[in-house]
Amino acid sequence: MRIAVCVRETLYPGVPYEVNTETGVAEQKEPCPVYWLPTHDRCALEEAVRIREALGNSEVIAFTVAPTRASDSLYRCLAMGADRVVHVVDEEPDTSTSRVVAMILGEVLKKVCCDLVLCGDCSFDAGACQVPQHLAALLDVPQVTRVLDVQMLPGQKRLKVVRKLERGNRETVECSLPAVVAVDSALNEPRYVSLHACYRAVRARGSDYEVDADTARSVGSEHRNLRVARFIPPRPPVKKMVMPDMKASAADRLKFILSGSSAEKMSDLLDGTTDEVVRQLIGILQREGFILTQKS
Amino acid sequence: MGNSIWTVAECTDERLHEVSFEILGEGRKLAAAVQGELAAIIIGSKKAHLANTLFQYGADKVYVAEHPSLGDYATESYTQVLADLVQKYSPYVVVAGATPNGCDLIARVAARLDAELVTNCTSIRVRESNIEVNRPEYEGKVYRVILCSSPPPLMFSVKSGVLGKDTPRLSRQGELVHVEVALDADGVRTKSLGFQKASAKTLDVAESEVVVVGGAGVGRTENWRLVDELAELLGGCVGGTRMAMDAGRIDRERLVGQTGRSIGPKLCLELGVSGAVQHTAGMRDSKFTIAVNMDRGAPIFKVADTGVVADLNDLLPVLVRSLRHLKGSGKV
Amino acid sequence: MDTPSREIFWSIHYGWVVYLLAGAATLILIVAVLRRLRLWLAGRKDDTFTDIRRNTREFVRIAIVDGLAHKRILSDPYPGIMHALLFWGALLLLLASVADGISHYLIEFLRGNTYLAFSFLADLGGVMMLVGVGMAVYRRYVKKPDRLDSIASDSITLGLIFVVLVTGFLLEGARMIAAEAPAAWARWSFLGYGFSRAFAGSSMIGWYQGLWWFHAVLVAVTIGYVALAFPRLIHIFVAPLAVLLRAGGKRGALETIELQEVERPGFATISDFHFRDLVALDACMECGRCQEACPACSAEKPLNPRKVIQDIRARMVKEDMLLARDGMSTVGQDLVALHVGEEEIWECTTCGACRNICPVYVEHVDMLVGLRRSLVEHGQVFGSLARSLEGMCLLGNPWSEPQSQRSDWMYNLDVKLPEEAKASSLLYWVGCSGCYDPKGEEIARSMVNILNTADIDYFVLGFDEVCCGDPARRAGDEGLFQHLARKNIDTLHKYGVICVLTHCPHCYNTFRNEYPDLGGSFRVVHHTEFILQLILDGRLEVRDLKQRVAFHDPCYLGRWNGIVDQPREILNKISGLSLIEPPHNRERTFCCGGGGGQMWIEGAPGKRVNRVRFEEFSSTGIQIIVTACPFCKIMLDDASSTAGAGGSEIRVRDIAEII
Repeated sequence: MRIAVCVRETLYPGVPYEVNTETGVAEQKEPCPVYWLPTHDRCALEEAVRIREALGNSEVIAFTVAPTRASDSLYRCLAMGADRVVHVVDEEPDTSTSRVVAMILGEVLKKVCCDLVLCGDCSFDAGACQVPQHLAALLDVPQVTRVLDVQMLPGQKRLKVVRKLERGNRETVECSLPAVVAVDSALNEPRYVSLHACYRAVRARGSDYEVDADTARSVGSEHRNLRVARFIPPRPPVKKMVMPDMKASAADRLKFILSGSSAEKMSDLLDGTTDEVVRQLIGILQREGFILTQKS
Repeated sequence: MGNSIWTVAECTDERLHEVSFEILGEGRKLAAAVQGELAAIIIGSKKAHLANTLFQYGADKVYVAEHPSLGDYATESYTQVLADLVQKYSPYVVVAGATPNGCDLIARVAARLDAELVTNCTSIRVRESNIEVNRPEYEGKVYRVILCSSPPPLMFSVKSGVLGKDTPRLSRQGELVHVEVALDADGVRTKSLGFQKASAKTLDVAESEVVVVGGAGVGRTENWRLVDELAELLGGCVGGTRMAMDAGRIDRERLVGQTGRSIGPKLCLELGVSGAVQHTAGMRDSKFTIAVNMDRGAPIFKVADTGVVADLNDLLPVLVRSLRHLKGSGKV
Repeated sequence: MDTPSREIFWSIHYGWVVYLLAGAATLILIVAVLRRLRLWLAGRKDDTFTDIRRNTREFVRIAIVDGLAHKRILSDPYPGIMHALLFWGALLLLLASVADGISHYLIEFLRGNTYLAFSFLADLGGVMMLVGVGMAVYRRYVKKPDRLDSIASDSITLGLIFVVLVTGFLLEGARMIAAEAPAAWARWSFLGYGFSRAFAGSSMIGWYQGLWWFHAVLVAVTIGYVALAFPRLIHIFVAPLAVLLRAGGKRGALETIELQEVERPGFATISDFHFRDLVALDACMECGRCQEACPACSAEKPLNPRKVIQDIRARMVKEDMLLARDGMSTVGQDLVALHVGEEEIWECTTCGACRNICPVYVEHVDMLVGLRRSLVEHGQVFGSLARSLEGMCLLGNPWSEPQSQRSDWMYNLDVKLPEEAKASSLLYWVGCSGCYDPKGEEIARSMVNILNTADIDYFVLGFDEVCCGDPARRAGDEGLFQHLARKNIDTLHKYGVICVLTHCPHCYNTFRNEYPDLGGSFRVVHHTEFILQLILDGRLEVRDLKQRVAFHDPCYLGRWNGIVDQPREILNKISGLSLIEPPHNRERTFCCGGGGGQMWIEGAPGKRVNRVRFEEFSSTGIQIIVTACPFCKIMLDDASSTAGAGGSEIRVRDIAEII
């Protein structure tokens, strides 16, 4: 069985960063930019490796459409258990919309003939959540998205997955292979790869690392600059005003306001007997819409 | 119709999803700007009666595509139906809700029709006789404004809760169009095997809209049972602090804090929680927080929106009783 | 007879048979050891001969201090004395037999008073052993301490030894009667004499011969039994060997692996262990002192160091069996670590209490870290530890905080930066807790205050600092450790640093004992040493503080690096302070629970180690716990604030903050 995993390295969201409103590109404040392979991509790769370990006689290939600097992440994929990686070099990631990426991946995967394609659901930067579906349409295979659990059914021709719906609901879906499965980051816990394992991959697995320099240039180029975009900063969030304590004297309240309301935020404290407080609480819950009384 | 604006309505549990109405509101403005008609699409089985509400919320026309095999959402059949519809009627714009199924559907349809799709939009406007949309990127740190000049159909998706709903006009009527559905039922390669609704026991802390967090101050087992019940009454689930976990009251998946889960529910009830930094780091993103603690100086009160200084042994039973009573008399 | 002496084989016919018995017993003993040797030879033998050459002097020292003087064994009085009695008693008896042999076959020197002294000592030896056996039986079967588990061979062996001793005395008594030994001389063999009084009047020759043969055969049987069926007593022969083979390398340092040459670091199978480790496994006689000393064990966590050693030993035997049966290595599929138990392995704080107290010098910590390395290489790391290691890899610190915020603690502080450094400057290494944790930052700020007040020429690295690598190495990720270490060493060389001052014992230990192997030799000073020197030089004045305090010795400072006096001297210089010593102090300190990566490991349920240690302090009536390690401060402070309802009144402060 051949399993393809589509991954993409992004900036590490765990460090502070600013988005340049001219270019729309994120800039970290770190001494050197920190990239990582996001959790959902790792989960996808982990699932692929687990399926291979369970079935035997299978191959896991990781694909990425990314600039040259993403090679570290691909070696990490090798260290995590991928048999091969294919690096489709794309030196203009900023113009590669989801549509373009999906088209490039489609081109590459059509040549490879996989039984299953796993990818992460939604990326942190653009968050388009389009690539898996688009890819599935191009390959003309069924798709399942937001997957939390994957089970290979005996016979290896069908999958049983659990999808994550809203409000904690789940749906079980059966899907025939080949298919594209977009996984959620709660799918599994990806195995840890030590730095040494990554170095080993760099030293010893060079032959499993394939570079495809052409596809990105030829495919989808007409779609690259279709959108004219500009960037605006977000609206500032509504700040909760710190009001002076109404029980304080007028002089104190004035002092409070004049000092710039620099007191620490304190919540409104409800007062009264237990019954009164409960009534107030329920009133607040109703007001905020957490409990509704049906209009009789 | 060259200038029609379409919205894709979504049905869950025999009702229309909230987002279906929200996008109608935005669609209404778009339709006015392009001087076209606003239509909504219902795909399903035996759902035609839902069209009335869509008219009330502003749709001029509702296309109903019904087929017994369309009862549950299945990617390929829904895609086929919607793509066929779009190809037949050539709308200018198609807007769907960015729900799990909505995202799944609209992206495949866009691919199938080789149409431009922009997801997670926060606004859709007309500008210089083109459509301009805003969408957040990088966790909302910047908004990309895109002027779409691609040929129609233009496709967009909008997350639930982003746009407001218009007030429905109850007397409004519209044109209901039943559409012939030609389905290749064998071509559908996925099958829904069933749904599992979340209960307070199974609901994940990070997915719940209401989380009742219990800390060391909850104390006795009877109080913890009340906490469970409270969560159930409010349609949410239970979370806990490290003290609660060490005492065996909650599992690790319900631990809220620095070494546990991060949650951002709409309502967070902090019961008997002191509010140490290790815990509040995990519930900082909650939209509304109510705290109950015996100690007036507890740090949780710096984080909560509303607080009660009370003994949980007294407060909890009364609160749960009152809510139980309300529920009995028709609380939703 | 005119002079006291004893005829060999007196009245025993075919006495030479006993030499056959002895030969047979010795043969069995040798075969038994050789069988074990085959098991040990499965391990790596590369450094064995270099180890032996280097260790010889140390071996002699340990042989005298621990072997003869029983220093470590006596750390627990009752079993210490018991063992001393058995050991010295047996030694006396052995020397007696050897002397006897020499006297009869070479030079006859056991005559007259020499002989009387000899008999006295021989009897004394026997009596000591009897008392020892009595103490052992009482302890093992009546008092039944927790850390001992008794198997059938224990009682059989004790029984055998007891009977051997008793028959020895009985036959001595019988001989005295039968040979009509004069009382004045016989009295020197006091116990035998006592028995002979009991038998006075009877014809004892038959008894004597019977007892003699019974005793001889029983001794052979006992030796054979110990060799074949009783793993614990084999320590008599194996322990000295284990000590001779002990790894060189500094105390406090873990083994540095040449990552270029090793496919997968860590002890995945038995053959990855060193030869010396496998020998040490057999030297363990399961006394359980490590179990008693282990803080995780006291906190009722799954970890039990004694069980870890036993599990590895069982695995050694099993692998050998599988290898013999199946020929190839099917054993490699299953990690030793999984055999021991992952939960157990991750509970270790690497405090070193176990290996410190072990009478036969088993290195539990090295083995546990070796097992952790194998888990890391096989990707068996999960949860918060995996995230913390990721953070160290991406951002250079285990708290996963941005590198760009590493200097935030310096805000509003007058701190000298690298630009102002001169070639002779002292580097104040702040460490990750000092930069990122609020409690650690308090220590760093106090230190800067001290350095500025004493007008020291120092500088701080700021952004150029990355984690010293201690948590990575202790957690078993050797590659990450070496990556971080090399980065730091390069930075320090770039600035021409010669001397490093740090307030964190983990950083201290890593810089001092582990960086030299990677090319970074610096002079490292802990802030307690430094502050004491400043006070003695008069460059720093201490304020008065009227409080009752106790000092908590950090494991990496006291136990691993022997710095226990300096903090106490500092505290003694503060007038008004009354210093109380907790039960576990100095090198026998009780871990705070933060080392070995534990700060970032979720851990099994059970009492927390820091709470157990805190309870030790809370009953002493002190107001402040003073410590010298940011991890200790964080852990104990956490225990203090979560103790009981509303937390405890006891505050936790670092030495730098107290003065």
